[in-house]
Amino acid sequence: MLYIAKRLAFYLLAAFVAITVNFFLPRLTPGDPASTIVATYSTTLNEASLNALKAAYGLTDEPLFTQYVTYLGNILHGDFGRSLSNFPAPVTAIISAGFGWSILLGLTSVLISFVLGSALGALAAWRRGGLFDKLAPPVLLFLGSFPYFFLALLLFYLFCFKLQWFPMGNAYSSVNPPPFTLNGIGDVLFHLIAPAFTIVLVSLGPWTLNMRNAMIGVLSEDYLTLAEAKGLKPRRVLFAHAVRTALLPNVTALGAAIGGVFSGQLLTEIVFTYPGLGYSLMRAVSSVDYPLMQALFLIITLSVLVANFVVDTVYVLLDPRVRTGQEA
Amino acid sequence: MPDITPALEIVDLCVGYAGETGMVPAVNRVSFSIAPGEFMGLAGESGCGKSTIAQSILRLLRAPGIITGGDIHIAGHDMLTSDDAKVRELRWRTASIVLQNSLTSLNPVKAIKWQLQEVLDRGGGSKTPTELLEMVDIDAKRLNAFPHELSGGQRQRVVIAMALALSPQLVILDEPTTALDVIVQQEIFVTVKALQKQMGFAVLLITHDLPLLFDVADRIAVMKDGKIVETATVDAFRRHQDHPYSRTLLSATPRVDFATPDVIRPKDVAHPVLETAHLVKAYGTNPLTGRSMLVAINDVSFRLAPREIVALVGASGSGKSTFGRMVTGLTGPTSGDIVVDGHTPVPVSRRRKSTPRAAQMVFQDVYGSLNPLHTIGHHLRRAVISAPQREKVDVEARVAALLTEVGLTPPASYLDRRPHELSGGQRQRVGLARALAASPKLLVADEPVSMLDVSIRREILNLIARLRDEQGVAVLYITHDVVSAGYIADRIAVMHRGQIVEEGPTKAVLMHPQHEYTRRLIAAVPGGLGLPDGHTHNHLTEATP
Repeated sequence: MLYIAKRLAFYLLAAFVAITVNFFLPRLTPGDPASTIVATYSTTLNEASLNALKAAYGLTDEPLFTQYVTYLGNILHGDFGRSLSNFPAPVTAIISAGFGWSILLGLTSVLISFVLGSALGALAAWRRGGLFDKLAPPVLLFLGSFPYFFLALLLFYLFCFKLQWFPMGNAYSSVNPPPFTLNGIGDVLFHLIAPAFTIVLVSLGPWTLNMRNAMIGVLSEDYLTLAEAKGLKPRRVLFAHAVRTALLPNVTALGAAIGGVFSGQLLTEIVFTYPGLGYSLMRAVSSVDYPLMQALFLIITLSVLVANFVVDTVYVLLDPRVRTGQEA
Repeated sequence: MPDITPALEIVDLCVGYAGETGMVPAVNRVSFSIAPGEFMGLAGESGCGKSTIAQSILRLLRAPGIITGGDIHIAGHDMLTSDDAKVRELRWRTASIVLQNSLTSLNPVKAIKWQLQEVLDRGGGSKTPTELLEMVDIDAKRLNAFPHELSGGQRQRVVIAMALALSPQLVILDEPTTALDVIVQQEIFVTVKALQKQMGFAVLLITHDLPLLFDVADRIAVMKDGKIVETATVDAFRRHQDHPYSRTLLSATPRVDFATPDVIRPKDVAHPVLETAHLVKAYGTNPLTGRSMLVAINDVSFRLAPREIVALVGASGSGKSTFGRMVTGLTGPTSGDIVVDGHTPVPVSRRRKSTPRAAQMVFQDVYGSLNPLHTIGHHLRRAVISAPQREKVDVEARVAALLTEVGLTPPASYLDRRPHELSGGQRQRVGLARALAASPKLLVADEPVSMLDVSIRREILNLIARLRDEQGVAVLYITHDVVSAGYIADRIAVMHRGQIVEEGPTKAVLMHPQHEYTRRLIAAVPGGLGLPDGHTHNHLTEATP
């Protein structure tokens, strides 16, 4: 418990630092975002509107520190300002529209890669030197070494465009998100297959290889010899002893992978026009929508922290060695 | 009819390792048997095939190891021709095994209880996990502990409890105490012997330590190069060894020469090569109290005269290695003073070429202390070039001289070899040559022989003594082994929980130990110290209840 409390304190501190950097960085660069926004409209708007706009974006002459406190207060209230490209929609509205889809696509693909990759890696190590062990790692590395957008476009062209097995884009068929019924869920899953599959395909390699290497290390440990000597069935030796401990490094990697979901699947969302945050980020960048970008960067950073905290907590349950806090 | 089926019977066992050039034999037509309830010792050096036999008995051998011939029966059950399911059923019920490394023998992420229960779940065990733990004298409160929360000795006890859970006829102990301190080793064997008396299982103890077998075994088999060269009862073996190798192995074990009296050197010389005053080393501070969590060295004041060999003896965790690291400047003290040859040791990070380095370190790990990528010549040239020198030296000549000093002759034949091409003993000689390159006044040798085979330990100890005689270097010999300390040292300092609890001329300390801890340390020496009459401290056989 003390360990988790320590980790929580660490992550809270990290979140605070991230928010602070997120606030100061754009304001310290020459040509800060607020002036850019105002400059964009300075020729088309009259004086009164311009002043109103300045006020709306918090472009005041207050000292930086006062602005910072205001910013912190706004964030605590969930107020990220208004989007520029979709004016006057609040940033939170745009983010909440894409957030769920990103989570769905990201978690699905990361968890499938994690489970599938770990299973394949365990299998390769268990039958070390066998046919599967000889074939799987090079094939997966080959797939993983493709530039992602190329592979994604190729698969998109083949399966969505030519063969028309899967839909050409979006996360659902209807105009509005489908209702939470069996049909609706089926429709969402159907749209999920193609983008998730491409992510799994390219990210499977590292999961498999890391698991294989960890397994080979564990298999040479004395407690595996002992587990075999104890007359346990091979299945039990494999799962209760070998996989159970060899999985730990992959669990650590899971935190980074889940945290990287929003930034990492940017290309997927663009290729498959999937309405997630990556797609929003691309639009924000191309239309110089600073408030949206700033909020998105913050969300990406915070999601890395939250994912890592969750994984750290799970790790404590899986590995008793960290519980005593001997990591120092 | 009495049960005359042997607990273990091995006939003409042959095991080979498949290599690129064909089969490399590891075990060559080995035959022996163990009677029910008998304690058999299998002695030999690393690589002789003794552990391969242990693995073969339970058919645990992995590729590239292959059993190429022979028979193995455990309590009448054929282990080699039975199918896998049958072998699995026989494992642990007929014979169980305890491996050397207690830390890796238990699954690190499962509680002790879970691991004991796993064995009991196979059925046939008559005890509960609680009873099993109590049987090996561990508090049942530790049932839910994880392996890393137990000490090395406790973990090995847990494995022994596990090994006895299904009441097998045979327990194989493969170097079970090699990684543990002598006192812990003694306590564990007292427990094993008591349980054996009570439960009647047979034991096959595999070890490199002949004196240990003298204490605990009924019969001894000596192995060399995959063959058993001699089998005899312990009593007969002690009196007479048939095979020359048995004699070599036995005589290689250093003995303390009690016939020669101590050389008493003046205690307070004017210029000690090493002097520490109220030395303290503490690790970690509690943020609430400001106190140190762990005091490794607690107020140690110590002196070492030029040309003196002093053994710093203690158990693992006693602080003896920390002391050595502070003397060589690898770690700084928390408080107190160290003076080596008139200077305070300079931390490694702040050393310049001119910094005096009167103290040089010889490491325990002969495999890890030489970079495998570089040649021996490279290692020694680097040491010579970086040593503080007053005038220009001929590097090649100096390297050759160093190699000759440590007995690696002709020097030219070693220059281009890499560490993996040398034996453990040769590597430690290189380690010594490297330490001598800076012409030190003091060698700090931290367990320099504990990773080496028994038969070459004495050679290296003799070499260290010779370097003292010829080069005039003083030696701080850090060890857990009282016997080798008694063999080489002029003086012994016993370290216990960060303090020197006893200090004095070697034989005086060994014959008349004053501190309780020193007495326990001496009493735990396998086979005894060979003390002159009237000084026999109780050792294992007498300690058995």
